[in-house]
Amino acid sequence: MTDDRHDPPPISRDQTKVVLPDLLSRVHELGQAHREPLPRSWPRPAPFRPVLLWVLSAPLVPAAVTALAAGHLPGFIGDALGWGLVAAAAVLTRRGFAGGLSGEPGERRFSRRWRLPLRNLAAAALGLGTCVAAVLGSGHLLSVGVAFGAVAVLGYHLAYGLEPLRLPTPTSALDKESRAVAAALAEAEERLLTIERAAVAIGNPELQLRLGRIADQGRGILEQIAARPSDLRRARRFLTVFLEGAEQVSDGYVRTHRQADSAELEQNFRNVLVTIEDQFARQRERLRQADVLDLDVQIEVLRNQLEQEGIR
Amino acid sequence: MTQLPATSNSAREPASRPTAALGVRLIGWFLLTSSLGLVSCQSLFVL
Repeated sequence: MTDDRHDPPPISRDQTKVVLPDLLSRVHELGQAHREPLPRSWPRPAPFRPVLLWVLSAPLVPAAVTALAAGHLPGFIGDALGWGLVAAAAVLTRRGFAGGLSGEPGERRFSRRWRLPLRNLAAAALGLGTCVAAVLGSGHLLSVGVAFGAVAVLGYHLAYGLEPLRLPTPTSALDKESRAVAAALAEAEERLLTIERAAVAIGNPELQLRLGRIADQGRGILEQIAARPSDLRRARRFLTVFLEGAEQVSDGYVRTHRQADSAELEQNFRNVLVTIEDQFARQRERLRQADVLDLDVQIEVLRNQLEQEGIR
Repeated sequence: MTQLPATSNSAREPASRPTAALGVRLIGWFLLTSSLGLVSCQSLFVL
């Protein structure tokens, strides 16, 4: 890369065998860290809908009506309750794939490690609903109803998949530096969530799109820091100045633009968003270039060492 | 200057739809149909 660099001290063949795997693992690590996330559109695409659950449970509705018309109260309760539970399972499944109950526009990846396993709750509701409909609606024995419910849960697991329970990592298990990185990422993610909530609250499609792009860039930077915690030092300015500023500006605009809805304010806000977006993109590129430069230096050092080893 | 490839990385994205193989999903659909579907239809025609 540069010709004026001082030659590193020579290393033996044994030392080379030690250095090379480290370097290869670092190349792999950097390659992983710099893979771009999938481009996200804003607003996000419609979530997955479990149509099969709605279709399969649909006969329970006329069955409940028919049971009521026939004066068969247990049948009515079984069919209605069974359909209600399966419908709840369908809604929970949809929300489970969409990312949560709270309607937050973005998912949490750093600020909360545990979240409600909605698809597991959906599977439980589906099993219970099937069991209730089988016992009260169809008149099966309880054991048969339980078996139907178990088969339904197994089918749900194979068709949609249950969620693994991610328990929070005890902070005592982390060293000081890891805790600092985790705390910085969590705080930054909270700011990004505020920006994403502001994007939804503003209601202006263009500004919403800009804020969405800013949030996506910010999440990309957090991913980079998470993959390479040493980048935290380089991104301090981004986290403390730009991200905090973006959060305050977008939150402030949401609170004030309804009272003082002026074109000038909107234009000023737009200009600020353009600047922030530009800064976020630059910050991301700077991190990428810094990591690549680190790797270049290491490769150059190793190449020189290998050449010297070959000359001897 | 080393240029790292900028490729997508879907493994790090949260699943937004079922990710199991088609064969596994087909078995799941079959089990759902033969449990929930059967119970629903039985409830409709039991009276």
